[in-house]
Order: sequence, then C-alpha cells, then structure tokens
Amino acid sequence: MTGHDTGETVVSLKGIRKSFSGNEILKGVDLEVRKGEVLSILGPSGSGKTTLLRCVNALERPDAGIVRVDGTTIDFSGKVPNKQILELRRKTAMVFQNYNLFKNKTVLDNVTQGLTVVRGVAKNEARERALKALSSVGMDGYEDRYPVQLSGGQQQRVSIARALAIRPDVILLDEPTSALDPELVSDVNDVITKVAGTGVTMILVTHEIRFARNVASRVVFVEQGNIIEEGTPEQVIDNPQSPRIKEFLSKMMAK
Amino acid sequence: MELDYDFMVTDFPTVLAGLPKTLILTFWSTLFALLIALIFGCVILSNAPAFKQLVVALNTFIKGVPLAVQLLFCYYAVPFVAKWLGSIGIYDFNPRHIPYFPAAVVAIACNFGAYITDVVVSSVKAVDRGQIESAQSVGMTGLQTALHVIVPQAVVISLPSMTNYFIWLLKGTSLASLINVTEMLITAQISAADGYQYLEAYIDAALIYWVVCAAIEFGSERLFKRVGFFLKPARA
Amino acid sequence: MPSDLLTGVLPRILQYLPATLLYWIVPSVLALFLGTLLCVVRVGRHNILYWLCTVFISFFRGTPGIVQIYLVFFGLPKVFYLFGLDIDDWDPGVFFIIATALNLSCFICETLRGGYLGVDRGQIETGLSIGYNRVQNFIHVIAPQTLKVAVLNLKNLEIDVLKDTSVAYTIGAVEILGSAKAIISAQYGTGQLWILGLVAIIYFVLCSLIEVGFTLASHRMERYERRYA
Repeated sequence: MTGHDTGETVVSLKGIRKSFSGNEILKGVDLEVRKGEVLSILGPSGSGKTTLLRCVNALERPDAGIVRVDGTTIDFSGKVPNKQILELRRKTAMVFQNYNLFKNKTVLDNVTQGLTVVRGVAKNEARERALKALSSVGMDGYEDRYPVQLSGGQQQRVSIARALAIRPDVILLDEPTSALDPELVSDVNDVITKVAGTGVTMILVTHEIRFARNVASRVVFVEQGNIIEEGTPEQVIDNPQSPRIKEFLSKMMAK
Repeated sequence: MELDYDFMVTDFPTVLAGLPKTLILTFWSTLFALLIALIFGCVILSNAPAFKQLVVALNTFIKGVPLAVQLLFCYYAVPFVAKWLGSIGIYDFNPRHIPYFPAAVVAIACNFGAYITDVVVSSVKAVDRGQIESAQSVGMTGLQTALHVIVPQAVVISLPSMTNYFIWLLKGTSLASLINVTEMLITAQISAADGYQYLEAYIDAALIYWVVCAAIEFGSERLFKRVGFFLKPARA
Repeated sequence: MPSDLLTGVLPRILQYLPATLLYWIVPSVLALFLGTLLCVVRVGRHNILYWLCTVFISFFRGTPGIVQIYLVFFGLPKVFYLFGLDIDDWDPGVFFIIATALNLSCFICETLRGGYLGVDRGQIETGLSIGYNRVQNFIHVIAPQTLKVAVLNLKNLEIDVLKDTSVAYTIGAVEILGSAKAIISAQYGTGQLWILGLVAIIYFVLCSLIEVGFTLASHRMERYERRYA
C-alpha cells in the first residue's frame, strides 16, 4: 500500500447519474478522494467504473450530480458553461488505455503541449519540466521521437510523463495497461507505483487486482452503477463482504 | 505513318507556351475550390440544421452536372453578371472584353469544390477520436484542439485525395477551351489551324499534359512519405 | 423563360437521350472487358506486357479526356490508312465510343487492381487451408471480395462516363448537350441559361438514377453475403 493520506478532500462526486441510450449506467454515485490517496476503482465490465472516472474530468457529462476538483465545483443538473468545464480539466490529467499521444508531435512536444498551449507556461520552463517528467518515467533521450516510433509501453510512459508535467490536482488512469503486450505491463506498473510513492493523488481504474492491491491506499468496488463496497485493499480484496465481489475476484485472480 | 514530324517539333514550343496559362487557370480554380470546400466542409461538420442539408443538396446537384454544362452556363451568364456589376460600379464593363477567364474559374471551382468538400469532411472525421479526447483532457479549448491536433492531422490525411483532385482539375482546364478561354489546348488548336495539322498539335499537347501530371503524382508521393510518416497506426 | 421551354425544347433535347445512353453503355461494356484484361496483366509478372500496359494506363490517366477524343478522332483514320482502310466516313460517335472505352478501361483496371490487392491475406490463406485449389480460391474468395470493394468505385466511374458524354459534340457526335447547343445557336442567344439549366437537370436526374441503381445492386450483394455469414 502506498499513498500519503493528508485528510484534505481533493475530488468529490455527489449523486452522479449517467445514462446511455436509455440504460442507466451510473445510479447516483457518491465518492470522495483525499489528497495523496491512490484510489483504485474495481468492478466487472459494464459496471460503470470507466464512465465514473471520465466524469471527474467531464469527458462524460453526468446527467445529474455535482463534481468538485479542488476549488472548482460544477453542478451538472443545470446548464454548464464551457469555461467551468475547462477549469475542471485544467486541474486534472488523464492517462488513457490507448495512450492517445498526439501523433503529429514529438515526444517532447506531447509533454509540453499541456503547459505551453493551455497553461501559458514559458517555453524553456515547460521544456525543463517536460524533460524532468520524461526522466522520471525512464524515457530520457526520446524527446525527438514520434509516437509512431515507440512501443506501446513507451508511449504509455510518455503519457504518464505528460500527466506529471502538468502537476494536476489528481491524475486519472483509465485501464493504463489493458492495451499493452504482457511483457510491457510490468514496466508501466513500476512507473505508476513510483509516481504513487511521491504523494500524487491518483484514481486508477484497472482489471489488475494484484497490482491494485499493491499500489492503492483505498479501493472501491462498482457494480451496475453503484459503489457496493469501499475500504482498504485488505478489506475489499482480501476480505470482501459481498459474495459477488468474492466471485468476481476469484475469477480475475485465477489468471 | 503520315505525320508531319517537322511540325510536331516546331510547334512544340508554341504549345508549351500555353502551359503557364493552364497552370494559372488551375491555380485560381484550385484556390477558390479549396475556399468553397473549407466553408462547406465546416458547415457540414458543424451539423447546423438547415444549412447542412442545403450544402449537401447543393453539392449533390453540382456533382451530377457535367463540367462542360457548367462552363457553358457560366459562359452565357457572364455578360449579364458583368453588365450588372458595371451598373453598380464595381466593375468596368467593356462589351468587347467579356471576362471569360473568371467565368471558367467560377465553373471549375464550384465543380471541384463540391468534390473536395467530401475530402475535407472525411479527413477531419478520420482523425482518431482519442486524439481529441487527449487534447480535451489536457485542458485545450475547442479552438486549440482544432489548431494543434485536428487540422495538422486532417491535412496530411487528405493529401492523397487532394492531389488526385488537383490532377483532375488540371486536366479539366482543357474544357475551358470550349468557352474561348486561353489555355494550353486552345493554344494547340489555334497553332494547328493554318495547316490543319491538328493531330500533331494534339500529340504535342498530350505529351505535355502527361509529363506534368506524372510529375505531380510522383512529387506528391514523395511529399506524402515525408510528411505522413506519423500516421501509421500505433501498435498495441 | 422561353415560353416553349418544356413543350418545345425539352422534347427536342430528349430525342437525343438514346444517343447519350448509347455513348454511355457501349464504352462501359467494352471497357469492362478490356479493363479486366489489363488488370490481369497488371497484377501479374513484371514482363514487357506489364510495362506496356503500365505506360498505356499512365497515358490515359495523365491526359485530359477531350484531348484523347481528338487524338482518336484524328489519329485512328491515319492508323487505318496504313492498312489501306479508309474510315473517314465513320460516324463520329464511333470514335467517341472508342476513345471513351480506352480511357475507361484504364480506370476500371486500376479499380479492380486496388480491390484485388486489398483482399485480406488472411482470407486467401483460409481458402487455401480448407482445400480450395487456386481456381476455386479465386472464384469463391478473391473475386467476390474484389468486386465488393470495386463496386463503389465503379459507381463513381460510371457517373463520370455519363457526364463525359457531354463532350462528344466537339467531334460531331450529337447527344443531349450537343442538341442543346444547336438549339441555342438557332435562337441567337435568348433563353440560353434556361436551356442549359434544363440540360443540367436532365444530367442530374440521369446521374441520380445511376447512383440509386448501383446502391440497390450493392445492397443486394450484401444481403447475399449476410445470409451466408
């Protein structure tokens, strides 16, 4: 278990509802994440865990509910001005399952884009921060390469560097290793563990139960649009209350 | 075969002198066609209710009418338009110099603009959705996303189709010869009129068109290799 | 608007509709054969025949259609003259059909070739692995997949052929546009825009019919596929 819980709430979701084509995916979810925590969201496919994560940076807009990141609060029941959405997104960073690095930019540019274009950071400072971030994920020397020249694992590490360089209030990771060849997974997991150790607040959606158990400071289990259990990894993964969770975990761990 | 080979050689420079005029016509037509395509493309991509349908209907109609008909239409329309522009003071209308060149540009630009609109729309749609979400997650506004991510990638994606249409457009300028516009084909015809050596003149013209089109195709392939390398799909 | 636009002009123009359709169908059929032959050469070994065809195709794709029409119109008689044949009194429409057929065959060749090369390697290997010999594999796996991709492009090619018939009048082969031009010059330029507008609508209707026809045909082909899926 990692993470330095300092008590202050950084992310707060209240009453989040979301439907897709008539199917209610999230049924009024409440969630709080404290500063320095590494929260892992587990659950079967279709449970809504990815949708929940994407509500934090408004890539999915909830039908109802309140999302707060640091000082920015958005109530999705009414009309939400774009300015607020942008404010929200500027406090978060996301690592995608498919890395989604900008194909037309070098590795260095990929990391500095968020700083120079979005946050108006000066070019040399942005470059310095970017190089530091790349170094911390083990990608020194790759600054001038293009994503198409890198392996999946390397691209994902650049993606993490991009998130780090921004210094967000929270980093959101959406199944970061699901699209990787098995031999590349452990490298990326090591980087995530290292980042978690530095006290960055993270919310991690993943299928990898063992990894979640090792890196998370808190775990929630989502099923059919509701959080049905929450607690430390020991509590939820080793000794879950719900029998369905037990069943799910034994299936996943049997691999 | 009974060909006046001497004439073919001596007439060649004369026909070649018509090439710049063809290229100028191509340039202006391409410019306006791109302008039309960008405007129409944005309308279609924005999904604006009535405008999108209007634009799509207009394009469908234009694509179903031969360029020759469009050229002739503009040819007969231009005296009226020029006279009207003269009456409101924008244009100095001289009945002895009717502006057929702009008429040709309008016809060709509208025709190809309709086709290129489709290229614009499909290129933008071909940009991976993940790239856009990535930009959003980093906090870019819509405009920033368009400028830094969508437009650069869409332009490269569109290159093969665009050069294809460019070559078609260049070949299409030869139809402007039907409405008295100076370009290479009509230059060839005029040079042959005296001695009735049409075949020789047409062979010269055909060779020049062939070389120019082949050169453009070759050049664009090289360009695409250099600029488009980043488009290969990422390995999982 | 000329008072007799619909009653007088339209019927006169439509008299030449069969000519337009003739100049559309005959080259299409001829080009289908020739284009397939060219394609067979173009996907085969890189021998002399291959390079000859490549040059031939490059020429027809790199020169404007109207120039090709003129070349055939003025050049073919000279070629025949070499063999002692005088074809000067052939109907100009024949030259137009020949020029169009040669042109179209090159595009059909490249379309088929693109479809053929695009057939997934895995499909071919599957066919071989269940015991098809090369001919059967071609008939059951390669050809259907090639045609599926080719039909879309074929639709656009056929629409272009129809629109290009409008240029036949330049060598004296009268069809819809040719007859419209004749009417316009007979009327000393009154109502030209109306007549041309009418002609535009006629072509648009014809092109739309082709589009619908091909779309229906390809849906039928797909339905056949789904039943076997």
